[in-house]
Amino acid sequence: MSNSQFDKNMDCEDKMLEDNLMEMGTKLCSLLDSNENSPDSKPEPEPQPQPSGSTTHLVLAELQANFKDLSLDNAPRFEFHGYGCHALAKRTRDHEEPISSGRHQKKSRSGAGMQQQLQRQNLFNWNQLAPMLRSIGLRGDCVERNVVVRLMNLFKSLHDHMNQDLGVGPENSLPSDYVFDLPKKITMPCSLDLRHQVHVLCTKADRFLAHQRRVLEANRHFDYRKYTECDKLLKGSATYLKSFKQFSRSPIRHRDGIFSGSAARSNALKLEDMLTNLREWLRAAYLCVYVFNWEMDHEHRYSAAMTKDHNALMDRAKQQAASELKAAQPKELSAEEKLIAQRFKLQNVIECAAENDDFLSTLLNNPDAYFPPEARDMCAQQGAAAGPAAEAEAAPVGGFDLLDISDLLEPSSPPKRATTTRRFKPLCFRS
Amino acid sequence: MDFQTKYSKRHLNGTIYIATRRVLEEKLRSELASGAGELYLSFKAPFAAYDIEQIAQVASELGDIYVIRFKVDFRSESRGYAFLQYIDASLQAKAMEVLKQRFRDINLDINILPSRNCRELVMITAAGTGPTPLKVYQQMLKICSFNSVRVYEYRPHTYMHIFSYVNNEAATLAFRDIRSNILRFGHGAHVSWLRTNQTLANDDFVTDCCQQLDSEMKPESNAGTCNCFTFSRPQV
Amino acid sequence: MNEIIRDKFIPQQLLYFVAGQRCCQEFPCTFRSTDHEIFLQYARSLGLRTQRMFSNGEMIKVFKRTCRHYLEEPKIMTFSPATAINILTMLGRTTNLGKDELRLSSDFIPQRACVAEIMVPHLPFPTIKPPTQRIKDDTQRNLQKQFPGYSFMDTVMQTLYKQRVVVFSADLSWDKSVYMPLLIFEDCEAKKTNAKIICIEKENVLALHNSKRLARYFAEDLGETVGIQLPHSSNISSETHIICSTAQYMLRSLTKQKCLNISHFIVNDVHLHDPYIDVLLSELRIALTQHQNLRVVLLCQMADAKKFTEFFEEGTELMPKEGVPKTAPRISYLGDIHSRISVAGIHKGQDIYKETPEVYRTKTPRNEQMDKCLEAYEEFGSDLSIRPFLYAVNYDLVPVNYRHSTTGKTAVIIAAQHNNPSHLRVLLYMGADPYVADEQLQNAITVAASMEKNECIDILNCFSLRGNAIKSAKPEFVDYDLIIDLFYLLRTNPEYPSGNILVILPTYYHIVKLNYMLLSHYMCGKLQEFSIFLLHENMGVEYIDELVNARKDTDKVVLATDIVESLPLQVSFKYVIDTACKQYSVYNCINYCAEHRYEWVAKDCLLRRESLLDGAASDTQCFRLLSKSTFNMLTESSPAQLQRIQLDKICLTVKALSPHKIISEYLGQTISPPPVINVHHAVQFLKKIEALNEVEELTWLGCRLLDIPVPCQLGRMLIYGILLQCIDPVLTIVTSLSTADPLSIPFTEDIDSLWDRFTIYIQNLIKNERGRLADNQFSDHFIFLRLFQDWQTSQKSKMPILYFTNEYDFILNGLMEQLSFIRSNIVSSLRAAHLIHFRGTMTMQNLNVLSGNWHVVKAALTGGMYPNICVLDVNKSCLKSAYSERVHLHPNTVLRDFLEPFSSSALNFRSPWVVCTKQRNYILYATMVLPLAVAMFAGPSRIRTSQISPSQNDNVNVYIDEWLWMVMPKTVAELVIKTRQCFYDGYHEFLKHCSDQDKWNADSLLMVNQGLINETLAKVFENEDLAVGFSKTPNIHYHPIVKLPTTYLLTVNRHFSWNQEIEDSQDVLVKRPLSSYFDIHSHFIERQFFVLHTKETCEDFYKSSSTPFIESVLGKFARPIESPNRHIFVILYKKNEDEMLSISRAKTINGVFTLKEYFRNVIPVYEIIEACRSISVSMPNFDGRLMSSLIDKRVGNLIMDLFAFRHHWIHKR
Repeated sequence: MSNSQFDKNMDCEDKMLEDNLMEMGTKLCSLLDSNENSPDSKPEPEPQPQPSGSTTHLVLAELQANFKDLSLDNAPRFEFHGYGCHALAKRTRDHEEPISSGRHQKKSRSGAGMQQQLQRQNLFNWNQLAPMLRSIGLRGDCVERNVVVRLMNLFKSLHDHMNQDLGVGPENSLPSDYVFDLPKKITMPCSLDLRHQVHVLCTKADRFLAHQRRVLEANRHFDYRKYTECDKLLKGSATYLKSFKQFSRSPIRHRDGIFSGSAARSNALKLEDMLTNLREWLRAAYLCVYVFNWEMDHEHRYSAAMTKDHNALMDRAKQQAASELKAAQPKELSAEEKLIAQRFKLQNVIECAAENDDFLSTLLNNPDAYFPPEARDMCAQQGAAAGPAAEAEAAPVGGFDLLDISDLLEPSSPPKRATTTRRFKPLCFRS
Repeated sequence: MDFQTKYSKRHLNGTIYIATRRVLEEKLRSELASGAGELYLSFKAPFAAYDIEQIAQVASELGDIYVIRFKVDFRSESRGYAFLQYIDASLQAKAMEVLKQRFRDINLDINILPSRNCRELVMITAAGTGPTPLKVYQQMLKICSFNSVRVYEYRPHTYMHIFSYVNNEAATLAFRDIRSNILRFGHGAHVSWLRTNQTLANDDFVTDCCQQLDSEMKPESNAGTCNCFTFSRPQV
Repeated sequence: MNEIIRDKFIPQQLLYFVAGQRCCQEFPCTFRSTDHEIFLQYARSLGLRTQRMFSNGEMIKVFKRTCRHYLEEPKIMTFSPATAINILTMLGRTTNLGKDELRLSSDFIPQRACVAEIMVPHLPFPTIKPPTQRIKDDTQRNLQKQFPGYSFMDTVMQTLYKQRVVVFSADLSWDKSVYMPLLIFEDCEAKKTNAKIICIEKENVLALHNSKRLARYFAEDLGETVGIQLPHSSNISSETHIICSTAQYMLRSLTKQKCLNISHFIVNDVHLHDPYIDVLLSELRIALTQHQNLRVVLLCQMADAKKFTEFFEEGTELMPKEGVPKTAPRISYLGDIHSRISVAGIHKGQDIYKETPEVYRTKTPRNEQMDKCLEAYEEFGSDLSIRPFLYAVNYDLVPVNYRHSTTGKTAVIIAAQHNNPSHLRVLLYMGADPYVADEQLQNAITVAASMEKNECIDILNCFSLRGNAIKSAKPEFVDYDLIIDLFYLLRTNPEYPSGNILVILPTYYHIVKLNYMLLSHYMCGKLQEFSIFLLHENMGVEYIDELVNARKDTDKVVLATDIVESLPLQVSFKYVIDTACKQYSVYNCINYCAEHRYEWVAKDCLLRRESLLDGAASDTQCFRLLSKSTFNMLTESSPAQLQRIQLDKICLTVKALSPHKIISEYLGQTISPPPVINVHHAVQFLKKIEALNEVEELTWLGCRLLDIPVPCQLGRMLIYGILLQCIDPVLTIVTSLSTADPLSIPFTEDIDSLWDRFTIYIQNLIKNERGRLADNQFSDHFIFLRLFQDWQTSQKSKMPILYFTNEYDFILNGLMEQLSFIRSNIVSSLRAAHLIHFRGTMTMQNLNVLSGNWHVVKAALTGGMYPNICVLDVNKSCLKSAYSERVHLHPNTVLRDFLEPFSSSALNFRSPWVVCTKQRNYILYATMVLPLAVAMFAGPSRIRTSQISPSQNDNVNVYIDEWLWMVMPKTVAELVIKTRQCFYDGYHEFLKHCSDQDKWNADSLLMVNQGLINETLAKVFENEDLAVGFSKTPNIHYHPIVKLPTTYLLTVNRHFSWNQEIEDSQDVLVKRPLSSYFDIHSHFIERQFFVLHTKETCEDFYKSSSTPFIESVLGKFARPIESPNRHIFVILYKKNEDEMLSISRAKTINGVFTLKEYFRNVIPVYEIIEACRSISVSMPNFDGRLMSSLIDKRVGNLIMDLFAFRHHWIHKR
């Protein structure tokens, strides 16, 4: 019994082996196929013409032919089992499926059909979306619902106001793209604690007002009427600030924008109101004091030469504005260009040239600006070579640069308040 | 740990080795090099918490470590497993009992198993048009050294090569090198790990059907039933 | 007060603005809304344009007419209801997943990273200790004696004891980078003092090479006494005392561990002022104040060493005197070279393409238009009439020497005709050649002479006196033809003894191109045999090994970039050909972008290159491809790179090194402080992309970008690629943007003399090819993708192709080799930076889920390219950008055709938004993107409700940043902002926690959420793309990354190198008497050609033909006549198609007759017959009666030439 059982087992095992072998064969095939990338991957390789199947003799022959090259002293072992060798069958028992590393998932992009279907619903009303919108907390009106967020925005705005410089600073003489934005000394603290924010803001506003006060007092003796006007604004701001300070003590706790209690909520709303008003006060006070000081500068502190410079600058600016107005008129093609465009069917090229009018005009009128001295030397007279070379320093170098040479005019700097050396004006506008 | 005299620590790409400085005799050395008594340590995530030296320290309490290889990522953080070998390979069994407990005592969740020591790679070349086994053999010699290769013609003119290496580490390196040079083996060539559940002992190697070739590459006289053959370096 | 504000203050503010340089200005929020009205009124009266802005309250912005920031009106953004539903569904699902709906903290607390938390890429160094004693063996002692500084050792050590900083200046042959560490190490060993020596090199490959050489000295493997630490390979142990690394990598690890446990720093090549080395020097200066025992050794070549000691405020210089006086090489400049070549009368064989085949002059619209431009100019002769032509030359890449199709006149001839000196001058400046003759064989000079117009004649006289070739006055022009001529001179003329040749070229692209040209000339058998080796920055160390291990008796030709100046090779060069130019990356603060600029190198650099010649040998020669007068004008030393490059990465590095210092302050204290404006721009840019927060602290993004080895902008693109799960295509695009583009439209100068007559034709074809690949997607970046993909597929199924087809294919392979090299480097870095994980949800596979979806890739580009976004202004028909300079579309981009005015290109635009890669004012590569993509991914990661202001009809204005401005329905705005929030929550979360792998397990919610968003975005973008009329995307299959071969050039050069041939025929050599060995060197090689008939395709033929078959049809005829001096070539001919397919060299190797394929192509026989006619060779007859036949040598040579000099674009079928 046991014997037959054993035989059965053996049969089973043999069968399994054979199955394994076949399975492995197919897997290997698919491996090979998947390696070929083309979609029309080759079918199973054609059976070879040799009937015997085994290529042992060929391999052996090749080996013998090349055995000189195989320095046997340190050659790794080589073992070959031809087709039909029973060792192969035995060995496969140990194999599991070799893992392919070249597998990848392809994600089918379905759903396109559905999209089209949806698009066909042409009678669509945005209002239909309203319930869905509301379910995710949107109202469709772009209004901020959360008080804390609104408050934070207000705080930020107030800080911005107090950090701001009025008037035109040195950056005016630089292209707009050139933005100085050095780290600001006093910025809004990174905190969601409203009380802390109020506290910081109060301190800052205090200092800010004190500074304005100093500026104002320096001008007191020039014009008393204007002084009192500004004085009122400053005093008003100061009182307002005082009442505002109470918020640094009253409860406005919240957690992730949700207030802990109705008192906190109402306080917050009150705070919002106060902040908006405070902003208006500070704005007005700042502007008036600044302009007062600015006017007194012009009327009393400037020397005659400075005033003259300034007036000249203003005149030039007006002229420039006028000429710019003129230049802004859209350019028409000249008669000659139209003629060329028409006669030679060169509409395209003429338009292209017109689009790059500035460059081409400068190239023709003032070619020296574009070319490096080496190139210019080629055509220059022997003696004259030194002349343009010296002047070349000013011209932009770098060969065929298609830069428009911007007008390097620099306005005489307008009077401005003294800036310390390291204090570039932080301006993050544009531009 | 005593890194001055007893152990050395080395970081090579994705592996940190802590190895003994002791000079071992040739036979022992080669045995250990081919993976005798190797243990596989697998950690439980998060891996960053495992201190390499601490583990090595604990492991060394049991006996002299031959080498412990920690697999690490680019930031030298563990990738979750390591290999450990003692100079006395027979410590393997004991280590599995004792160390596990020891680690648990110091709150390290480390599983210890005997290493499978995967060290065989299988390469399949394209049917029919691929390079001949000899070409593969020669190309492979240029890339990295290996212990032996078994070639099976599992279908006419279609070969499967099984390369075996000294140890898992050599195989890992070889795997990488082969992959980057895979085009040398013709289009459609493919290499992957041969996953065995049991390591192959050396004596399992010579199958009955194989005839040993002599130094002139001539088969021995007593030709077997099938024409399989093998050659290896002359026995000294 | 109010009156004063109204009447005086505000008007004056506006006038200041008008007088100033700015083109637009925002007036502070401190003005009240009543003041705004006054602003608006007065500004209008001044002719300024105005805009009400909204950012936390209303503001006023005024613009001058020329301002290109000004968007007259907001761009409309809306989407289809289907999109809305998709987004809504997604939001509904994700908000349930999210914990708190507001996430206030991330909104209002600036992102800031804790630098201490950033991981250092490797283990801290173990405690320092003295090296263990060992016994030196003889080989080591001998090696030591070989150093030129052997006798100098004691002095060096003495100085090193006295000083903490030593600057050691000596030329490359001193091998300082090996000599110094060894010297120091041995001293420490002897004295039993602590030793941990860090050797810093400029490039990874240099460090690798150096470490190997050091290890070889100790007869050890790497990782014992000598270790290496580089981003992708580290090998170090507790016994390591010498560690090689690069400055960049070292700085990265210094962020945490400072200079602990280090005894010596050896910094190589300080004279080159690599930016990272310069920063490292600053760090070392700081470290010296903290570590008393630290020693710093700076190695340089012929630099002013004082500069360094002054910088450190201590230390001394060591400048050893040369022991053996070197023989000065002969130095030739351009003029000399030209005359030597013409005197030598080199013979390059017949010019097979001499007769211009008129086929190539077929009427393309571009030719017609150019003809008409010239006709118009000829007729009118006015300034206005030459402008179209000038336009075409400057903006459309038309060669300035364009000849009229029928009359053959060039613009210069016409200018001479019209006697217009100013036109003549401009044209000559632009590089026009006055010697080009028209159909009547008149050139500009003869025309001017015949007109007897003095002024023109004067100009032309001066020109002929001085400007032999204006082209060569430009550093960007590398004269390949001249280099080839030089090779003919050196390799065929017996007056020049053979020896190794070094060619120094500016970039990798040049190397590849010259490699092809040299090989094809050499394979035609026209040059003596040599082996080619390449050296450049982005190579594996195997390229160096190949050169170092090459057989001594090979004649080596080394093509190298300037890396060769820092690579001590034990190869003696007899000739150096120095193109004397270099590609610099220069930050242009006018255009806000880095540009590649070719410049002549400085004099000191030329000297260093000259010193690469073998000092001991006599009659060495150095050819400098610049004119003597240009040389005289060069500066003494080149400017430090830090002062010129774009500083974004440097700024991040600096910030990580000292988080509490202002960047500009730190950089101001380096040895070569960069211009303040560059630093500011860089910081500004980093703030814009939020790599730094507004108070200049590193954000998490900044930390991650630090570890990605590409510029910040591209790095950010990769991060978007990861988050949008399409990393593979983004990776390809990023890598392509940082390597040479194989499909860029060539200038005249890029085309060598053989083909420059066909410039316009070639340009048109490449433009067409670009158009084909772009496939109506309005994207140049898409072309990169397709190109790489096509190449990848062609590679995958084949062994490396070793035969040649044409230059383009070769260059493509070469460039792609580099691309995949860099690409895999980037992947490793991303893995190292934990941006891609090995397991969990951030695996490569998972991050490629959407890789096949071009719509999503476009979205990733939008996010990554911001702020490089342009927008179409329909009324003005121009592009506006954040950079107010005019931007032009480069002819390269598929957004426009040749000679197409922008107003007509703009008509085709599907969307007003274009993201672009700029070079100066050009948009080099552009991709048109959806308004939705811009609304989603442009601008700061947080758009607040305060950036929104109501507009008419239930619409709102959204101010994305200070100039991007959109109007959209309220609902749309809300949905967009909400989606943005969702996406950017994930974005910040990812950046912050990506190094915590366990957070990204398969079951973590983080990526699931992101996946959901991405899936929706994919749908939505596809939907919207189709809706605005983008055509359907061709499939971009994502292939899982296959390891691609990265040594194509190495393999090819090895395959065709004579080195290899010798090896093959070793046995034969042994048997043969030694004299015949020298015959191989002989240049006089006779060639015999067989024609072999086949019915199959080339590939099948080589695959199926067995050795016996070749032997039977060819071997028996060829074998007897084969000799070292007589080469046998076999031409494969396909009778039924009447085509030549391939040409191979036949050779008996190891007694077997084998074919080695040289060229493969398809050349119709009629072309051969035509070529024969043109150089009057008797016509061949290829009747197929015999399987193989011997043909006339001259015909054979001609066919060989046709195979070797074939142009991909011209001969394309």
